[in-house]
Amino acid sequence: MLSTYLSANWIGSFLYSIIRISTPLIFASLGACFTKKAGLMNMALESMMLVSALTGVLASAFSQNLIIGMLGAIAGALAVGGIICYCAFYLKTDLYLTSISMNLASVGGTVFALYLICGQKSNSAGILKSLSFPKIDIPILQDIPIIGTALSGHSILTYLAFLMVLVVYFVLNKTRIGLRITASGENPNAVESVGISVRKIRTISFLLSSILCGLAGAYMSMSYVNWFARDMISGRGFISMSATNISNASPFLTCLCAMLFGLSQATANAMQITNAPAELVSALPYVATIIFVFSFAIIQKQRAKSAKKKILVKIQKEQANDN
Amino acid sequence: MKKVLAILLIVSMAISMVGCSNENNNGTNGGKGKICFIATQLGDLSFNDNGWDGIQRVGSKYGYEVKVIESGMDSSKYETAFLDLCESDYNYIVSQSGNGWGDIVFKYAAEYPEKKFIVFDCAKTTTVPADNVLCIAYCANEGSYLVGYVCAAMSQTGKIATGANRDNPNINDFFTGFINGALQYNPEIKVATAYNTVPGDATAMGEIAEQLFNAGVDVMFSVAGAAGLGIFKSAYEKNKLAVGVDSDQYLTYSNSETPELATVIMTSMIKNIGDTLVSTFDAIENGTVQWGSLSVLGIKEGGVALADNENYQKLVGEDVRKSVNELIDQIKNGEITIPSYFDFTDDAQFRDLVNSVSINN
Repeated sequence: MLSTYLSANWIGSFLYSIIRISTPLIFASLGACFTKKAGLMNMALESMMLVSALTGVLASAFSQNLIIGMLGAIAGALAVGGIICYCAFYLKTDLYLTSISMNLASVGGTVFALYLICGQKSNSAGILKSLSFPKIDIPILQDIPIIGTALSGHSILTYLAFLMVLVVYFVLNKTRIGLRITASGENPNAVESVGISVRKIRTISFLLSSILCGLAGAYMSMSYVNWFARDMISGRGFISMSATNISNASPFLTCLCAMLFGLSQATANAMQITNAPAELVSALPYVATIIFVFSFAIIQKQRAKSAKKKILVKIQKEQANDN
Repeated sequence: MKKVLAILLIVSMAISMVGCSNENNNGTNGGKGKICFIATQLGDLSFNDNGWDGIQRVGSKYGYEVKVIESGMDSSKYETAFLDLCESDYNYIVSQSGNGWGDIVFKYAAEYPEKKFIVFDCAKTTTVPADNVLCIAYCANEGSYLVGYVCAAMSQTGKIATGANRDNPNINDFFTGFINGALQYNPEIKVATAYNTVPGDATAMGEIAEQLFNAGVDVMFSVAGAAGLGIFKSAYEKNKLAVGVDSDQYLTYSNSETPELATVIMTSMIKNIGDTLVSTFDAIENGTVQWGSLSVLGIKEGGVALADNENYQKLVGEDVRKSVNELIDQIKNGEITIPSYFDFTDDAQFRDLVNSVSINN
């Protein structure tokens, strides 16, 4: 039985599918890093991805140009992000309620738009000839067993996702806007006191987040598959959100968490071959989410405890020295 | 400020309502009565579209006013929606049995004796609860038996697979027929059966298909409706073969904007939902229909069939096609009976069958 799973080819393709499943999660959770650093949760990841998946398909189908398709996807996500920012930061509605209503509206809204344009409510496959991003074989690397199968031949957007980890790290830690975003998350009053508008910084963080969600949506409908289907994001936005929260918005850890979720999803798919009970297997990614959140919370608590202890020991030592 | 939020919420709810239950009004109004067709969602190019097509034909043939209601996949909203339909002026309500619709119709049918209910795709063991209900069951096991036979014949590796959205008796009837048909061709065949991790999601189904293809499977039967698209895409990318379901999916996709997906669909197991609904209404018009009964439609009655198209003739060898035709004749004559999930005394026997042919053995 194990011979099927231990072959180099199978392991390589399993790792490949982890990376493929993780790609949209990496994009979206990196997007959520910006808003998390700015002190806000981006609960609208789901709708940003869904809308951009649709606008990407439409833009690429009507222009027959991939770059325009990608820009269309990003524009769709920016529109969602823009509406939310305008309502929440300028009209002072509740950010989370606005995000939730945006998520609800996008589920019906995308189907409505799809129906108006294609006359179909289920998916655009067979009706719109939309494009998909090319897959790239990496020379030399692709000839190495296992690693080559796992890392080579991915969509160009997958490599972009990993590049984005570095970009987001750089933007957040090395640029002026990144530091301002972090500052307005940690101490908004201090930011205001030096004359910088927190509102503006938070809007920028949401729009940056939208751009990354736009890429996630483009990946979903123009690379993972080459059509738009209703509800095609199916919870990936929320899983990405928890990846960001678990890792406390550090880009590298966020990417790792997103890949852990990818791993659990890929395992659930692979377990379908073993005739394990279907319901149990489908629950795996969500159980994994709870376990990850739980264990990271414990680790953080332990860290805080030991840090506290260190300080106490230091104080005691100093007191002893004084005596 | 709160007003803006309130307006936004209202607009969002309105839009999602439109998306969920968009009513279509096609067909003629001949004053003969109204038929309501309940679909989960149209546009699957398979199960729901096939049924709605049949009802539209009924409408133009006999002059009924026909309407389709799309219920969506959230079964918690069905019950109230169904009671609303019963209170309105439809004469016939046609629904599928799957996704919980059958149970809801059976629960309330007796309370609305002036309405007629037609439930298709029922389990073959259904007991019809009231005199105003007509149930239609399809012998999915018979069609799947033929598919299993063809798949086993076309497999180079001796490993084939089938994937569905949910683990339920109707689906397992497909699987039972499929496994037995494959064993008929090759007693050593290995068959993987998979259920989707996200029901209805083509990407998840595609991931599963790819895992199966990586494990050595080279022919896969989709019992997954719209999610079957994922199987076709994986099969196309991995250069494997697939079989469609419910309608002739080769024809559907070869006439679409993505004809490359059609090339891997070597045949389809057709459930003639549209045709059987038309013939049901033929019987209603002739007065020969028996309300309160269950009609079981197999290959003989034209309820299920194997799609015979150019791709089937191109991909499947002549000797295989010949023996498939012999099998069809034998089933029609009653010379062989195909094992069914509903023959098992309990679910464990079905699991034993699945495990006995597992690709992990």
